Amino acid sequence: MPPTHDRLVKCFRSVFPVVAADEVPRASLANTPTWDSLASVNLIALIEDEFALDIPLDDYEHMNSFENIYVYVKQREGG
Amino acid sequence: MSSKSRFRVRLATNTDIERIKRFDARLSAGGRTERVSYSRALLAETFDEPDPDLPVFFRLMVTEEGDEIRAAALLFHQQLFVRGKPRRFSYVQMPISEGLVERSYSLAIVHLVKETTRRYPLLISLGVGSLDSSWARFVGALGWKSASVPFFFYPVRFSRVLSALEYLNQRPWLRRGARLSTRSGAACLLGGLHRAYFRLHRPSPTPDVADVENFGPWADTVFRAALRDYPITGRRDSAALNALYPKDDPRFSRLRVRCPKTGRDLGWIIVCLSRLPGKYFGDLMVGALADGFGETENVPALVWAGVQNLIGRGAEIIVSNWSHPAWINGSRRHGFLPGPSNYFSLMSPEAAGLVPPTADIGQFHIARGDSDGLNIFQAGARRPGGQPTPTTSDGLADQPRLPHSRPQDLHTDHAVRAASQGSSD
Repeated sequence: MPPTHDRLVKCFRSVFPVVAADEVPRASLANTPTWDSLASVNLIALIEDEFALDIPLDDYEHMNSFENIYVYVKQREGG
Repeated sequence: MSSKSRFRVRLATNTDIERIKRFDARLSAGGRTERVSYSRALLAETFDEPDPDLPVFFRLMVTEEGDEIRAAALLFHQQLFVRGKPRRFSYVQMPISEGLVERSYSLAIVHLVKETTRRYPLLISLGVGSLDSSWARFVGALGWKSASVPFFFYPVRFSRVLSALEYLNQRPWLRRGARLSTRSGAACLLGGLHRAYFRLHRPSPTPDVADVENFGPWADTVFRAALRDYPITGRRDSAALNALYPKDDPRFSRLRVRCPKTGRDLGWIIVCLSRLPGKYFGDLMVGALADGFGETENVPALVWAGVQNLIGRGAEIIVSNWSHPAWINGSRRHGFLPGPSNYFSLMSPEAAGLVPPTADIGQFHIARGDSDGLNIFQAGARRPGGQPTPTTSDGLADQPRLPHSRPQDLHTDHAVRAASQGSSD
């Protein structure tokens, strides 16, 4: 299975196709104009599917940048 | 990993009024016209803890962050009878988020909808104009199911309808066809045939129809008798109906329909009549079959009564949205034609789960009057030829909106593009 980083990039690219793959690791709510609530919901749903996670509502706060999400997913994976 | 979110979702109280005003002001400063919809007339219902036995009431759900409100939605609580058993459910109206003007609050609406769905699992958003709308896509991503509520129209004055309907005027071939049929006299011929068809299907015996001020115990009898014919329907007894269609609201005509021989109530139908603001119907006098109830075998008589009433009052076209097969068939029987519907229902997963997987929206009895589908018919509309008078007094008729593309599509920051309907008091 590809590493977490690559799988997460794939999720991001699905939701933000205009963001180039090499730009994804720097993507955040602040610098991605299309990152709105719909994008957030879609992104979280994809991440839940991809990593077989159930992300509680309180944890949505972490879902505001690739970096934060990566850290979050790694922690949830126990890595 | 879990930490406390900065957002908290709760019911609004009277103490939130200043916060709501600040929220509206920030939206306004960001160039948005949407507002949290509330009015002084609604305060008691909106903010105070209601009597649980109330047939209908409003609550305002808000997402707060610190001392500020970042998102809000109006919940229109009613009772749904699911195979005869009552359950509380809510229409979601006018969701709005500060994410519209500041993306760092884009999660406020997510919290709002998810927490509201957790607290009130049976949620329906009715009247959404397009499944491509941000609101439809947003709740779709949260697992909500969508369905269109069939639309029907009855052209009373064929020639006038052909020349005034914007739907035809925007399509060159249809426009040319409409002009040709008007000039050639074909429209008159079609109109005559259509009227003959309506007369041919006049119920026998002709029912007694009375325009009543309100709903009495007779409506309870109708409700109890007919409930078994509807797998899923909103509460339509006298208490609910007098709250939904209050006698001091001049938009509605409440028609009680009885068998002339036995005096037995066949049911009732509510109609509205108005020249509608907006482009869809030009300057046509538009009638609507807003709501109705009765045993399904009596539905054709109810539809007939509504059409007769509206024709007699000068309607040039009559429109309706029905989901239940009895009302669809009853409308067709009396000459209603199917039209393109852009009147969608969005249902939370639990609400959608009320319907067996193989069934469709026909399990529900949904009418134009459900939720806020009659907002387009403004107070004052019953004055023949008169222009509707906008009102904000009831919080339900804030702004004129288009007939079946109503912007409940509000939401989702970019996404929560809120309701154009949502003007506050």
